[in-house]
Amino acid sequence: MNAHRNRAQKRLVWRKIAVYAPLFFLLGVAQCSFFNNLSFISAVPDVVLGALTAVAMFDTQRTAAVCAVGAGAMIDAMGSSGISLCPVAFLVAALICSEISKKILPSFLSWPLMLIPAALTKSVFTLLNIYLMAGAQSFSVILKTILLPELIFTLIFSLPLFFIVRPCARLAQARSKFKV
Amino acid sequence: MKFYRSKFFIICVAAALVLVLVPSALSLFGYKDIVRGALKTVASPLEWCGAKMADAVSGFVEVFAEYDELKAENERLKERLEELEGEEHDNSVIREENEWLKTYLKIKQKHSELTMIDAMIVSRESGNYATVLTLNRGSANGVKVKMPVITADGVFGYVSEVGLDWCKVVSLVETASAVSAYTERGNVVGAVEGDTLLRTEGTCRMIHIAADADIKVGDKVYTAAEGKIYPNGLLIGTVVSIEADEYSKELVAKIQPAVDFSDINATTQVMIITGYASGGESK
Repeated sequence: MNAHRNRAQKRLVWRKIAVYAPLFFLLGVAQCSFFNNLSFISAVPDVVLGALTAVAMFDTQRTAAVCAVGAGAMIDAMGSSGISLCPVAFLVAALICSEISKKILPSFLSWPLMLIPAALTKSVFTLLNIYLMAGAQSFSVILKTILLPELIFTLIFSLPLFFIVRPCARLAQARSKFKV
Repeated sequence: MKFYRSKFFIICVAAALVLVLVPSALSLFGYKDIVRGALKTVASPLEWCGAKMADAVSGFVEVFAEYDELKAENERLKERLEELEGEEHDNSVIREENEWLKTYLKIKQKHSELTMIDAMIVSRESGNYATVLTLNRGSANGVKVKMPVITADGVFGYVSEVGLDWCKVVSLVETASAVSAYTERGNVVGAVEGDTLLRTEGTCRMIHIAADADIKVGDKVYTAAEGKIYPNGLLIGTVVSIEADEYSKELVAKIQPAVDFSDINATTQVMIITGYASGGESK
């Protein structure tokens, strides 16, 4: 019985890797290339964070934590040079969203209630990154030119991810948090 | 809370910290991150596609976002184009005038004893070969009857009628025209006159040439000082054929005028000679 359960769990783990790894990889590529080159937006939206928030909503806390560390490392590898804080930032954001998702129903109406805290968490780590890389800077300038645009565009472009990640989570046979 | 005390959570946090500190340290000390490099290599074709798609989307959005700007720029460019077209037209007029003035200067340098005024052809009579034309100068400009008219190529004709701001010119090939002339090479003297038949060809003839005169095809013919109309030394044309007159036994030379009367139009520049040293004659 235990052996059967272990095999089932291993299959579930591999299934989740097979679903979420390509999803985060493609979103990471899109974030670093497509969104980075759009001339009519003033900041790059963090769509990887948006997908991570959706995983926290539809899947377990453990899955969200693993995805956060993996996606954070991947986005740092693809998109940054120098000091990289994304694995920690994404982990904190995923844990916060997992706690929130325990209290709300996984619906599109409650989706912004998870996106906003995740984006705010990322903004804090972005600010920390700026201070570590560039030293003391004017907070109002950073807020106006980097933090607020990043927050707004992340919220806007992450909204459709609800409908993309939900079928992926179903495909990965995500265990509902309401099941015993 | 159980989750935060579990081994799994501690491993996650440790992994996150390692994944933050190791690449940062490698980057700060200038070492190459192999994992980062491998991931970039795998992702680069997809990133290229993403960048191309972003350019396409940006271009599409710019059409709508910058429509007003483009429209205003279009209007500005249209106005500028109209201005430039106007300037180009003015420039072409100035260029033509410049060419004309150069020609005028050449003639003035060649015939410094002449005083001239320029004129334009405003209308013409007759068929293919212009024989009587109207110019835009008249008595108000000092033009008088029997004043010679020339072009850069040679003798054109003489003024036969004058109004306040117009005058009529009888061309060299017209039957009413007659000019005392000589050849440059053999110094043969004669008279160049128009002919009814030759006029249709745009040619004229030189008569009163002695039977033993030294005249050949190709000789250049100039106006002679004996005439009352034309000054001395203006080019009339070239001898193209010589025949003996069956009645008088004198020679008759057919002259091809230096001026091409078949090519006369409103853009042809002519000059009216208002003064020179010697007199001239007319028929």
